[in-house]
Amino acid sequence: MSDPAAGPAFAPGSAPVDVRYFDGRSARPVAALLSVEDGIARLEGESLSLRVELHQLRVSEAMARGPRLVTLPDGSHCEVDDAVAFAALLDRTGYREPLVSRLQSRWRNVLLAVLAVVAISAAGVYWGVPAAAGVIARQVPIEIETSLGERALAVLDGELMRPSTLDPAVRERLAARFAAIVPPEGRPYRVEFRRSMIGPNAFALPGGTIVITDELVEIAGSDDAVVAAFAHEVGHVHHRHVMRRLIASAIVGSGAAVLFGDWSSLLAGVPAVLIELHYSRSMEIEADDFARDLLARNGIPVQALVDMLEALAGAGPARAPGPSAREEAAQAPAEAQSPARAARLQRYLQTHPDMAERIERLRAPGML
Amino acid sequence: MNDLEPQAHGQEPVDDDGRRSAPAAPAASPAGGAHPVEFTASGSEYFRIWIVNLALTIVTIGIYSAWAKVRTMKYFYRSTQVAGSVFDYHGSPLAILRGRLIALVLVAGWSGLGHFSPLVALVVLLTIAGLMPFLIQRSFRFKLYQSSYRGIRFHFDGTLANAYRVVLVPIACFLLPGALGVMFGPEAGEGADPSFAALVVLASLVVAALVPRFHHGLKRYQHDNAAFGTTRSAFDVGLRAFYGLYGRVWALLLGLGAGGFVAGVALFAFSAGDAFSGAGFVLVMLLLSILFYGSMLAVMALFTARLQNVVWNGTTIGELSFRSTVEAMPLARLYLKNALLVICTLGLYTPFAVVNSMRYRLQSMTLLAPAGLDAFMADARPGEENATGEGAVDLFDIDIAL
Repeated sequence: MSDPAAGPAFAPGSAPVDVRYFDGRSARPVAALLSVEDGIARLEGESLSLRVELHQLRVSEAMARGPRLVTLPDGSHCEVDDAVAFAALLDRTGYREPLVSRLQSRWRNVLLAVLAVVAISAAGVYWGVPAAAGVIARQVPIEIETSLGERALAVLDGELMRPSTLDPAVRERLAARFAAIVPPEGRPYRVEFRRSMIGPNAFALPGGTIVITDELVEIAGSDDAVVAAFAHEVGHVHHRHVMRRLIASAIVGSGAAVLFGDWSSLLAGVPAVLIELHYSRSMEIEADDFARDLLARNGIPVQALVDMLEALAGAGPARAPGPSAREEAAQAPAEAQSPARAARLQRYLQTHPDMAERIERLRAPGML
Repeated sequence: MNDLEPQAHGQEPVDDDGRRSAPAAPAASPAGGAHPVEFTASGSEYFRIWIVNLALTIVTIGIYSAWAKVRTMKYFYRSTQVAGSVFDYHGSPLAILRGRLIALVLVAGWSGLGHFSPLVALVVLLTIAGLMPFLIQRSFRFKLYQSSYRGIRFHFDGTLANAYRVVLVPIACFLLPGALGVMFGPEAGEGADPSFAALVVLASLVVAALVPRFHHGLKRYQHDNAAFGTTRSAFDVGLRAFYGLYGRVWALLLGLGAGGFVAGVALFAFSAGDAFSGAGFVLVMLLLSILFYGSMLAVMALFTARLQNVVWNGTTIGELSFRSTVEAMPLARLYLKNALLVICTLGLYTPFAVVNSMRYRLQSMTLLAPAGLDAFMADARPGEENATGEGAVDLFDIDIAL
């Protein structure tokens, strides 16, 4: 896309330019003079006399330093060092630099390109990626999601969770409460109770499996609060949040790699992480809204969800019920050794501002 | 950090200290001598190319990327001067676009199918691994054939059989410890078996000890099979040099690791109880991560500098030889400065960073041409146009350029 044909020539006799000619067969340079007359370029040098129609020549883009190249139809070429004389020669032939080269030669256009890249990336991050992830997630067959979810559960069971030790009567009572809640559209779900090393928590896996830890049931003040946590997770299932997050992170990751990867793949990861935090927050909010609707429809006070969030916020090494079971789980084992420290640490890093904001939101008079 | 090094690296015959100001008639060229490489690209000029390329690539949903690549290559090649002449790049955007599309299908197959079943993922992975030597060979051929200096094209004559020898064995060895773990390891949920863990660690150590040998094999394949016109290149670097190189890098890594550990302990001890609360914790983590990234940059600089010197000081093309004198410390400082500025400018400094590390590395090279450069002859061959290998290797992000 560079090197377009030189434009039409009308040049009256123009001053010849010194060039080095290479015939494409030997590396030996031949000193020559390049001139243009009546649309014909002439190369004259020691044992060299060539005539080529102007429109058959290809001229390399101008650069601040370094020679320009003029390529002949047979692949041989000249190197031209004298930029000024050559520009004058080109000018007289009516040559125009190629479009892209003209575009980038003006700072105004460069600035426009910067703005375009920034604006398009921002729009992509805010609207494009979530929308695309939503569309793609809906295409993923449920069997695939289910198999993903089963594998994730197997890993968690192996590493971080043990069978539930709750009183079976409690589990049955809660299961009955869950079953009584009717989510709007019938995306299948399944509830699992587990004793865990990750503290009070609830999370949704791909395919609609919802895991609730014994610890969460134990710190919840009431059955309603557990049902509220469950409703929040149904929100994640309903909105296919896990798949959307997987897909969005794949898109963001490859986008960041395109932008910065040619210089540092290390740095390319930073924006991706920040953007994912943003997505994860907006998904929590989406799930909260869903839970509020669902609770209201079933005559359970929204206060139950607020109670649950507050219990979690006060409970130490826990997080809001969230979709990212794996990441959360991965951090957990080391912390088991010094629970008090870890509790403070994690509360500092993750829970507070986010959780307070969510509780505020739920308390605000909502439009149900 | 693969800094898009002059992929011209095919053979960088270089020389002349670019006096291009005078329109002096370029006399039939000088006799032999030492010709330092000059790199005339500038960060601000490349910035314009880069940002316009990026904008057009985004607007065309990636299609323009092939044209962008050609424009970038041409800019860097034509900015690399030796003995008063520049390199040129002849790759066709359409060939590169086709290569990228094929590679995209491969990658999509890998990441798409891979999610669904471990067995399918394994089959796709093995297929790609099996194709990789072929792709790498094609990529070398394409890249060199599309490069020229003084009108003479470069060539690559490495055989497919040798590509399989130098690429497939390492891939198999890298996959080995993981495969052991998957096939014979404890099931999720079982307790870890210490003797098995020891076996996997041992296998990993053996593979690590073989890495210099693999790298040497790949470099020899690359630099022993190239040609400038009719003149073949030769690679005279022993295995010992590669073990020396890796030995230094590993020693530095170990030293930095130990230092980092001590620094971490000291920092936490120093900040006593405060380390885990609020500001103290954030500060300690910040210091530690700066230390970590700084160390990584230093290791990278040492590796890059030594590797370039070892490889190029041992490469010849007929009577041409090279002298490469990159030093680790200046390169590390450059990397550090670049990293800070890229972060502070949210990436906009990237093109400047690319140009200045390329400039330092290229201008550390000198071409020695005792009998001059005029006698080299072109080797007329039918086109070696297929860019599939190049596109694929690009997309899989295998950095074999160095």
